[in-house]
Amino acid sequence: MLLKGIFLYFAAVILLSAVLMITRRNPVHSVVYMLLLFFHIAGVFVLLNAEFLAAVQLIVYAGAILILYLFVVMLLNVDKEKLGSRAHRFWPWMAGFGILIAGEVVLLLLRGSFPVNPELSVQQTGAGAEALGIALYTRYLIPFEIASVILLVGLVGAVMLAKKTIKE
Amino acid sequence: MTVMDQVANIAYSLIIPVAVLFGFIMLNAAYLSYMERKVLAHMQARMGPMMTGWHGILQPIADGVKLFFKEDIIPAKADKWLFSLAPVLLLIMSIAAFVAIPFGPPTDFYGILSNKVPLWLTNLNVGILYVLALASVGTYGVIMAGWASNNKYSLLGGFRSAAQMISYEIPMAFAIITVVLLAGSLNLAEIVNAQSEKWFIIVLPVGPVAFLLYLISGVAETNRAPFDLPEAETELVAGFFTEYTGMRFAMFFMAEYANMVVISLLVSILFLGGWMPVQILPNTWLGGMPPVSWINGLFRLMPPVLWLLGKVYFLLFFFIWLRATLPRLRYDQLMAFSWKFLLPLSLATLLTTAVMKQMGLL
Amino acid sequence: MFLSPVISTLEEHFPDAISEPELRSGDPWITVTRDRLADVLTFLKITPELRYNLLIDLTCIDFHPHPSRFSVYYYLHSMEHERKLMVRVRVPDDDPTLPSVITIYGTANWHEREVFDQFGISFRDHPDLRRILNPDHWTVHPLRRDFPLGGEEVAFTHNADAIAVQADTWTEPVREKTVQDYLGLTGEVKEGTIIINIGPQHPSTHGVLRVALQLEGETVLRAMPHVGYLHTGIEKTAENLTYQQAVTVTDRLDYVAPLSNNLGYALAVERLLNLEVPPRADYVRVILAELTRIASHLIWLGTHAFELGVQSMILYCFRERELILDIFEELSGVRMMTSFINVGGVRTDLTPQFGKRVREFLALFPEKLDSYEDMLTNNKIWLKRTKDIGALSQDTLIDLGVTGPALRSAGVAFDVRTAYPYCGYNNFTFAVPTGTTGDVYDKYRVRMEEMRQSLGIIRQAMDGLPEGPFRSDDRKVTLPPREEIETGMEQLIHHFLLVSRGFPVPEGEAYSLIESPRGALGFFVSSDGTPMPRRVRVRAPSFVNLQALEPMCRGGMIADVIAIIAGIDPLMGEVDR
Repeated sequence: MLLKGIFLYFAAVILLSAVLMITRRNPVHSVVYMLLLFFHIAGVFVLLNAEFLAAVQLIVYAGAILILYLFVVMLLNVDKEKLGSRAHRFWPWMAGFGILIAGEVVLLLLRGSFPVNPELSVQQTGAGAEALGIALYTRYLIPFEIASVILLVGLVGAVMLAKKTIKE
Repeated sequence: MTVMDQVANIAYSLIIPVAVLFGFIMLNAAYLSYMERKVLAHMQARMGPMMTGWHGILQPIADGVKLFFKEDIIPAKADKWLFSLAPVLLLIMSIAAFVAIPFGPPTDFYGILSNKVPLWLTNLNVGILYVLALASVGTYGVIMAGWASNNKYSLLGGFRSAAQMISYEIPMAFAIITVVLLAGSLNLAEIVNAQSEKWFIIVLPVGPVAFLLYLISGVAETNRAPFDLPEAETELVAGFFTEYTGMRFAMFFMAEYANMVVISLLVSILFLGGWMPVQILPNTWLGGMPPVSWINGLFRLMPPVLWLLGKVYFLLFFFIWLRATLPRLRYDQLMAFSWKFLLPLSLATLLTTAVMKQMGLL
Repeated sequence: MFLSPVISTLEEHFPDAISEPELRSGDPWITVTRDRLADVLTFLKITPELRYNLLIDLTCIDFHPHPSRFSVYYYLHSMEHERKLMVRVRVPDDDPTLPSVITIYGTANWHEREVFDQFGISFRDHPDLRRILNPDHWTVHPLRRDFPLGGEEVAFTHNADAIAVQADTWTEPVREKTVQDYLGLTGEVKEGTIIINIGPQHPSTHGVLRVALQLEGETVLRAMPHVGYLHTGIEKTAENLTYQQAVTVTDRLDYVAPLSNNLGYALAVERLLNLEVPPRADYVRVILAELTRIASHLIWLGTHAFELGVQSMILYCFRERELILDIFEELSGVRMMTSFINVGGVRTDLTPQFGKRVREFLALFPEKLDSYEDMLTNNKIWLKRTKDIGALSQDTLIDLGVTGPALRSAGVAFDVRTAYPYCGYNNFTFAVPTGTTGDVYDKYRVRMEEMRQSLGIIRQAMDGLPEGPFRSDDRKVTLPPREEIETGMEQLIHHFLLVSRGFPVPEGEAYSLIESPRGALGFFVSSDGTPMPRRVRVRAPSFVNLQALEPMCRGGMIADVIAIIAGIDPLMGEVDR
């Protein structure tokens, strides 16, 4: 009962901060709501006994990626962003995609089944890290490697882009 | 179980430890400023605080009272919410880190208590990751303070801090993973127990390197000299907290000192054997014979928690010593040092550790 | 009549333009017509046998009732031939314009701005002719002789009307600040850059210097120094004091090395009076000047290290500086603004304890210097922060008029003490330390070595200190001794007159150049025959050296700006006067 209450709290804050994040006009405020979001997602991981994932969620997403976002956003002229028009000339496309994805999610929710057996979803592994490591390096080795290569491509691309601007 | 028993249980397992821990943090935050001022003063051929109480012993209290009653100024063009939130966030993150830190093995305080109680609030399986996560989130306080002040000096301080913390977290994380490999656990208490025979700092060849990596990154992570660029007063006035006054200003200071204590605790736990006493020569060898064994036995008489705190205060002294001695690095030099020197070194250390561990050499 | 080869050469090449050739205290002085000024200066600079490549000073004197009212002076020095030349141009009241000589001597920039600001002479083709010391919105020129003393009303509630009247006549309406106000007239806005003001209130600008930085990220695109926040009109004040009284205002120029200022001023006035000071006074002056140099360099070292993050150094340096201040206090009763060196010698004889204290300091200090060097010289971070920062070529430095340690660090061994010895500096053996690249680190090494050399000079002077009078016995200038005042009526009256009215000084001009801790400190004193000077011009080394800040900083980072300012070691009391 208590766990369910905590979960509901997390879920509510996640949804609310997600909505607030995309509706704020001030991009720095958006980033702060996103930080709130990440914290509560980490909380959900903890509820699922995935402590390792929770910690990694904070370290990687909140501690590194979002900080880089913030770094960029802080350089923007916030006042100008505030005054700019909210509608973009591609807005019909965006709305279309949004509706499409939302429909897909609704469809999945309606047709999918969620296991309610706590034994299945919540594994009481003493060391979440160990289980995760074994899974990543055996069963999911290829997806893991693919993800690494994609990240490497991104890294090289970023270096190339940065270099070009210096030469000019 | 009666209601009274439950209340007593909660009191023993939660309220009293939390109160003790909180008291410890606040006392440290306050008296570290005194320690810093006194140590710095004596290194710089002066006396430091002398007027409030015996040798200025009440100075932190006087400072606290003064800051508490100071006018709270929020600049007119600042982002008021973020401006107020930033110091709170920073302080919460640094205090929250203490929750997962073990201060010693379970003890009954020489028979005063009927059963043994642990000297930690929670013993997280991923304790070290938790502390790391909080440290990385603490950066937000600094960046938000820099941005929300709407001051160019603050903004530059915030930028510096963001770049610095991201850069130094990586070698720091690798140094930690080296320790995790050595100990085979992410649990801080188990990491300490793994050092009962040999502290990780003397595990050759990787121990000393990882120790230095962690120590340097730790100093950078806490924005202390010679890495105090975000608040470099001679360049950026006071960096990200230029616009802060009163209690909010005090919160930044408390957070800085709390962070220093956390880093010192982690260095002690990860590399200096935590609460393990100093041991001259291993037990199995000469160390087992008198008179060495007598000295070792004498060392073991001191309570473990004092050993840990002793190491912590030595490291804090070291932090202050650095501040009295070293010039400050320049921004690009700081970055280059992390990415071009510390990062490759930490990767090499990690690889060496992994290979040696696999070959059974460690 | 043959006066000097320079004058002969000039008269040969510019027969119509040159007039009034004369020799004053060994330097040739000439007068040039306005329209040929640029030609003559170019000729003087590029002709190989002349090569006057350093413009030491550019200033103006207002001979008020005289029909050709202003005289502008260009004081030149040749590094190769080690000789000086004074070029004078007369500027009439009705058309106060001159051609700018910036293209010939880069250092003329701020000098011309200052002359424009203080005298209202405008320089044609000057790229950035704005006021420099006085407020931007002023319309008046305070150093003109007909400008009233104390004319500016200070705002109180009771004189609001007077302020309003004055605002109408003195000032124009204050405009809104533009980018040009921050970055100079050549400054431009560039997308993606920010302008940040370091100062005037900032922990590491050595006073109230303001530097407007245009930044791209942390990289400095432009660094425009703005001065004048501490302008207190010392030159104007000195014009309204007797010669002996004016010594006290020179203390306030370079308040870290006040005795150097006293010395420079006293030498200029003594040159006008043709007054010889006794050898003992010269020795005492040398000892005091060198002690002052050490004290000043200690402040520089402490603040420099502090600004780069070495917190402890400043306290160690102040600890040792206290010993020097104790010596000054022992001697004069005052720790900083001693006014001890005055016209005619020094104020009192040495106290019995003086020698003992100086010798104690001499014994103690070398060890302390070594300990400072232990802390910094080979420190990796210190090297990283100072090596290759703010280096300029020798030619650029000379063109910008930079003198003192900042110039010597680039390898130019120009030291006034050896080039034009005064106070008998030629009787002492000492080296002029030089660097190679002129970066901040070399400036550090040069100043550290200078402190050692100063110790050597003090030691020699203490050993050779002659007995005898401590001030000139010319009763036209110096006060009669105490016992004579107590016994003789004549002497008492004379004492009264000297103190209340001062002594008249023969009409003329004299320039004295000395080596202050910051560079070549010049005093240009003009007398109209009364007991008060017509003009006291201070050629402040910091003021001139500060012009080099902009080229030194360009392309560096914010942290480098701090290191470079510390390397130049400007002192705002002297810059703003």
